[in-house]
Amino acid sequence: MTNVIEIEGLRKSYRRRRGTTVAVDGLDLTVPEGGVYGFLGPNGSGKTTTIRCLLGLARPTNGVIRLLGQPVPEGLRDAVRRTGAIVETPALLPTMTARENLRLLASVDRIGLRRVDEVLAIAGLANRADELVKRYSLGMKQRLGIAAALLKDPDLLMLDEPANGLDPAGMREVRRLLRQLADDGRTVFVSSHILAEIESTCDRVAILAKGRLVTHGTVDEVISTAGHRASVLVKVDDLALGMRALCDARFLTERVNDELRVDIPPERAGDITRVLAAAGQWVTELRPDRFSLEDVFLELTSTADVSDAQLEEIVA
Amino acid sequence: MNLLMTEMRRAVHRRAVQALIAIALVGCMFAGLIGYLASRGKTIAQLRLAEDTPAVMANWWIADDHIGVLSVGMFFLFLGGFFAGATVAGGEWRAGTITTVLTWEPRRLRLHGARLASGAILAFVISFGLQVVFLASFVPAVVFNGTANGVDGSFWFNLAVAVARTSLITAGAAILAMSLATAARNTAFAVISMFAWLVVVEGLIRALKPSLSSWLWGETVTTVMGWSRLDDVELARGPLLSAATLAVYLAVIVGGSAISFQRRDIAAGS
Repeated sequence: MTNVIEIEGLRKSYRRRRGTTVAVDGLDLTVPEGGVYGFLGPNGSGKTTTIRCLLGLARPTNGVIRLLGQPVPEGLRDAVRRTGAIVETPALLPTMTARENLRLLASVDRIGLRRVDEVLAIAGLANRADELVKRYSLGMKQRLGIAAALLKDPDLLMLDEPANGLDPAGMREVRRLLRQLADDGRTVFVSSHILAEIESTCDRVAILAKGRLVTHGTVDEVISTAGHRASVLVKVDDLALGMRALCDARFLTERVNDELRVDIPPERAGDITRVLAAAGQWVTELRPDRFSLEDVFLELTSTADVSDAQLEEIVA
Repeated sequence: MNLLMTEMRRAVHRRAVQALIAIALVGCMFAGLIGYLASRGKTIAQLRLAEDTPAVMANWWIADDHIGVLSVGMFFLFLGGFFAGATVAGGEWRAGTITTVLTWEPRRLRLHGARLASGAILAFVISFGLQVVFLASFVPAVVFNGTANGVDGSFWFNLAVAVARTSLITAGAAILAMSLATAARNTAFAVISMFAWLVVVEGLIRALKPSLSSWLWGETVTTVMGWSRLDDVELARGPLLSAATLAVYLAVIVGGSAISFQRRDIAAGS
């Protein structure tokens, strides 16, 4: 399997009046070909800056970047021909229709008009392709941006926060579209801070915090390697009595809404039922407490071993 | 060529460009109407006494004196070309479309060159067309009230040269504005800085150091537009030297903007 994105030691700092702000700090990242790759991080974590560096829109302070095997920026022209990208909000001419905008972009690379109609259909805009873009909702603009990114029939799609401004139905539609594009053999590199958008769609993820890579791998790997204690959730009729019984049996237990969370691997759930039964409490529900990507994300990005001093490295 | 054509289409779709053309066309209509009404009921002899009447076709451009009705529109075309150029380039930054375009053509110098060339070609063609419309608007005044006496082959040649020269200056104004707006990444900077330079800085230089006047944009452009040496300027230059001076000024500003565009990051909201 080849890599479509290779980043080694990427550092991007900006000179400000008060000193230097480090947006990306020593990022190493490898994105393999195929599938949907989620590039996650809270706002300000350096996702967009990394994408800007990948596309040659920003010049790295340090580091080596290869996009589709081409060094950036030297081989950018060849790489960009095979890359469709949206950076932040898709920006197209508001006084033109969607179709005109796409035709204009298509003319840069001599792409046929038939392809314009194809991508409009893929993005679900075929019926409204002749409306002015200024009349489009944010969600429609996002879909038009995806259509524009697809024009080149790219091997790599790089989408920066593609679900911004979308309603739940729109988000689901974008997720479905991303999955379909990946299933067609493309690599979709999608940045987001909305975890629900990513978890059900991505094959692999990387989590960025304060300009540094915190973890990466498949979604399951990231969740399982995040160091969470295994636990189970238990429901009983009398939570207070149940909790006392479990605590007396030296189980680490806490009350979560109308349930009890017991720190114990799910395969030892029988121990819980036995203790509770002995105390006269009958279990009405018992299930493993699975951590979502969002839990891991919030935990990792809030406790990332990156100090503010590293984020805002003020150079006198 | 693809990129050039694309950039031209993008520029033409700018509302400000369309509005400026519309305003210019309305201005041409009014000029034609006023030219017609002002010449109505007058004899040819009376009209000949008024050197600036468009009803006498020979007044449209007097090659020997480098003046004529055409010169009325020159200044507005220069301003229009500048404002349109600043709007086209600045608007790309304001709307963020520059980022979209760079994800299609990452070679920035090539893109910058294509944009400037497209702006210059459009400004030249539009300026040429507007001057033709401007002069054509006076045809009713000539046909019904005035005369075409004295109009011969050399008149048409000199008129065409004057129209082409004005169109070139308009193209230069557009390139200048696009370069300034690209360097500063907004329209307002280009317009305000040019206004401040022409009115304030050059005004001060004219008042305090008149010997430098021949180096100023105002005098240089005026010399090239009229294609004659200015009488009231110390050490005034000829039109050819003035044109060369303008070309050097333009080259320096274009070069500066190209370096700026090539080197600086395309950051969010820049």
